[in-house]
Amino acid sequence: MLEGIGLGLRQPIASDLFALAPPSLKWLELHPENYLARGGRYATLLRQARERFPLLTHGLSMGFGSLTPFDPDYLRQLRALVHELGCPWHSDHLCFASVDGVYLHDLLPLPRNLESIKLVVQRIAEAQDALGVPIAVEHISYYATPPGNELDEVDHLCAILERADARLLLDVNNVFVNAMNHGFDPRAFIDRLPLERVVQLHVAGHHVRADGLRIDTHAEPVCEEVFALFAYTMNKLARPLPVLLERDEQFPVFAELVGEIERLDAIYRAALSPLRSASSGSEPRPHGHVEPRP
Amino acid sequence: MTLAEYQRAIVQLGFAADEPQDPALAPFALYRQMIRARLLAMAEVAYRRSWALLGAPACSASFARFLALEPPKSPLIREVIGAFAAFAEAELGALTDPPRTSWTGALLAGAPPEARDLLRFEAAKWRVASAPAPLPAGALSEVDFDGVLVLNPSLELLALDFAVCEPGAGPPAEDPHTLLVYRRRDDDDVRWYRAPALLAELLVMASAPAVPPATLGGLVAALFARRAPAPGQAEPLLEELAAALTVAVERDVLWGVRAPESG
Repeated sequence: MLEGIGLGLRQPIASDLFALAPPSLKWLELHPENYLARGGRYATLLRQARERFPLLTHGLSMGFGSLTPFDPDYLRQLRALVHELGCPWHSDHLCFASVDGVYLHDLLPLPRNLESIKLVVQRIAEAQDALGVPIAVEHISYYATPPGNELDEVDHLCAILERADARLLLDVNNVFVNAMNHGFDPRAFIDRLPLERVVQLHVAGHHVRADGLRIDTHAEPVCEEVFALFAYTMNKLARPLPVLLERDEQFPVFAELVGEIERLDAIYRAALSPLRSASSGSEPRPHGHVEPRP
Repeated sequence: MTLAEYQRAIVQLGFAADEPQDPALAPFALYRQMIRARLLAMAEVAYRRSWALLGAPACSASFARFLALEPPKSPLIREVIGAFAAFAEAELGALTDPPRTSWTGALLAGAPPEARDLLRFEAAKWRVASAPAPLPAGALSEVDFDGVLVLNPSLELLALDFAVCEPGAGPPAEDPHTLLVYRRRDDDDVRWYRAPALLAELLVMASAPAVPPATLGGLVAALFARRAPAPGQAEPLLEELAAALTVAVERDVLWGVRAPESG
């Protein structure tokens, strides 16, 4: 079972990652868009990563709320990669990323209404059928509110998860960033989520602009509030699962990333220690674990 | 506003040359900045020398026109960056090949003559860096006249007018040649090699689609027919070709030969 702290596979840190990874680093996450149909350095990087770590795929371009049909070549190549790597699920974002065949290469918020719920549910089913693995949906950070909102964020997310019978990739930093930018309680948001559907967590740093707006950059250290929210979330989950430290830019010396990994791991293990004591060495059963579809 | 109307408005916001003034979209202005900055930053990295030669204002303006006229059509960002080179090359070409078109921005009008070649060279390096280069299905053997040449799948042949492959102190001289851009099998670095004219001619012939593919002997016969060497010159030409093929194998441009298709 894939669990514990992971890190994003990124070219600028790859050599340090392979040479200096601490024992607490258990797995790596990759963006398939960087590796599909690609030779050269990225192919080598993928091969080296596979030799050392279990891998999970996390896409950037499916946009479950997009009006552009999925690119068949992308799906075919992604299916091959996901199965080659033995990923138990594939994750992508609850957003739109393209329309009429034009790709934004960013994650845009959807209007939170029935129309978007129907579209997203249909596309998650389509993606699961095409890939042959369960889909985990990640909710995004957003900086503007689309017209046509009829639901609050958590109700919209819960309706999609329920109707699509989908897994949730819970991004703790996104919850915090949205809570600060849009004025809600991040713990109350997490309290309302169907935590039995959570299969993976993301934790990241973010940028705080001079005007106070927080931008989900993945280019800064994890802040204290996000560490605290991660601890809160883990204590509520109280079961093993993969937790990713997301860092995409402005990489510090690797020792700093190791420090963050070890701090996340300590929080993670503390949250699981009652469970592990109780099971006294037997494999812990995840609470409310959603079985993958055949 | 329907879901489709909203999404199309955001695409317009992201890629239109001028920022839309619709007040309903004002809260999304940050997304326009983020979308454009991400793509532009990657293009600057991919075409670093072109950026330096043409200047950031000209390149940024060309990139803005690219986004407006040919917005990204691929989920793979590297393909979008690759498509920009073709767009910018067309812009540069339109400046030098009459008739000049009015939409090609005045900022590129002062482009030096080697700019187009430099952009093509950097674009080739960008593509070759990521090109899949799988080993062929059949067995490879040493080069002989009865076999079909197996070229390095990452190889690109560039016909250039200027020696842009090595940056020098001054502008490169006009010097038509064929540049081979490729990766070796044993490492991931992008390499380039200025091919002797005879080898370049043969590789261009070998790269052309043919059914069934010609054997090396067939290619050489066609090459000799084209060049029509004078009496006594055929043997030196053959020796020159043999030496060029040896170099091509040593450089991993040429992987060997495979058996011709039977029947």
